[in-house]
Amino acid sequence: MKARINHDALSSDRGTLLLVTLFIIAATAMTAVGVVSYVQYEGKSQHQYDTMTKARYTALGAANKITAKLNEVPGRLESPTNDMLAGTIGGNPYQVTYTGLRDGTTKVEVAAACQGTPATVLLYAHLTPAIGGSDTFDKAILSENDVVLSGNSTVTENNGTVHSNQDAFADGSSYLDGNLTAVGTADGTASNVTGLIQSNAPYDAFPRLNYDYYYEIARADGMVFTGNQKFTKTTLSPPGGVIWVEGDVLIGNGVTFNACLVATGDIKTTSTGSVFTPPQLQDGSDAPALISVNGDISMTAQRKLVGLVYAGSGAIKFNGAWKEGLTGAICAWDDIHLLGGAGLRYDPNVVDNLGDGVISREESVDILAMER
Amino acid sequence: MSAKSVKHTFTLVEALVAAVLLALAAAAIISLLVFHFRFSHFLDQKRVVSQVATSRIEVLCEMEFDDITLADETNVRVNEDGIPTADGAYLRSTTLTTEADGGVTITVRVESPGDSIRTPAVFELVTQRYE
Repeated sequence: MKARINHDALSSDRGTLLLVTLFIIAATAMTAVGVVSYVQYEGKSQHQYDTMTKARYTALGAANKITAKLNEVPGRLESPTNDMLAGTIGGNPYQVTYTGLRDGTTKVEVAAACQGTPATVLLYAHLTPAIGGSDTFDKAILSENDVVLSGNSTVTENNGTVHSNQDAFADGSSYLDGNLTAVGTADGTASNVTGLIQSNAPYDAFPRLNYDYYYEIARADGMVFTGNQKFTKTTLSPPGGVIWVEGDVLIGNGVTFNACLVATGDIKTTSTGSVFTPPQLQDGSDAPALISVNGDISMTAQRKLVGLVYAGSGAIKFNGAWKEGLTGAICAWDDIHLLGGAGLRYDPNVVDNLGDGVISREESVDILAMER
Repeated sequence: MSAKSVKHTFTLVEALVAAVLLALAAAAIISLLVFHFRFSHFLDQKRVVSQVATSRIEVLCEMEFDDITLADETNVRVNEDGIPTADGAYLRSTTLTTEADGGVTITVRVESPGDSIRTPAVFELVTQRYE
């Protein structure tokens, strides 16, 4: 018996096969999209892991370098060398930032990157200064920045060296009986500089004073003044030999300080004729004459000054001739300018024994922690 | 030609088109799966070479500085744990370069086996050590 085909049923199934096929293809396509996305995600994750690992070991290498350089010269924590600030390891760049924390610790953040993926390593370092030292203040004038001798100014006696960690300039009207050296350019002539004139001289680390030592002496004598001060027709001879001012100091007529004057701000004069002759301190060490912790020192033609004049972060300017002399040494973080006939008589004997008032360059650094 | 026979012809074409489409889809999905398996294998290898290089460099970072110079090596066969074995599947090289400032740049390179089908995975890691 011949089977009968139900043509109506076939007719109603027309297109069903294609629809089913298209459905299968659509489902396959969606699966494929899922697979491709997964593969892409996996690939990206692995790439990110690779670059992050590379960046991390770049940062660790840089941290290792910084630690080694700090152990070599602890003072670099405060004045890092160029390769302690930025560089590359294996073609990957790193940058370092130093942040002082309130407790005296320095946070060293080493940030590296590999193909845009960053990694950071943190170091916490503490600089332990060695109090007392004999390796400081061996220059007549020392500045971390520029030194300018002009306007008939003079530096005489004991063949002192005038040194700048930037540029030093002694113009034709000035006279230096000693050496003129600079890490940058030393500009002088044999007619006004008797000693060596040396450009590109080695860097001379800026000496640091132990301010706490002087503050404690002044505090014990009740010689700590709070706020800006103006001294006129005053003679101060504290037994400890130190006057401490929390602020700026203006010096008027007839002032005699038989003491070291320390100001946290600026020290300026409004007239002429004052005397600054600090005695030896109780422990037998030399007292500096003037110290400005955070400000500038600017004085005109006073009567007499003996000792070290020191600006820990500012500039020093001496203008005009001193009646009985400006004797000792000058040291400033910022520029030093002698003009108007100001004459420094370099005397190493009054600055070579600052005892516990000086922080030796022989300090140590401790790496307290490392976060990687 | 009757209307019924037209319906039969249409269904046959339909079936042929469906068969071709399914064949194409199957071919595409098979190549995708092959790619997926190859890429997954490559990623696995990438992970292994990365781990071998990392563990090697960690060891060198912990090592006494004076002993680092002994770590120089070229194409040493290691297994997936980084342990040298004669039949190790991975090739590891450690290059040490002394810097002007006394430091040592350490470069560790690990390569997985590859052939005409499998792409070898390579990972290179660089760091520095100072005394």
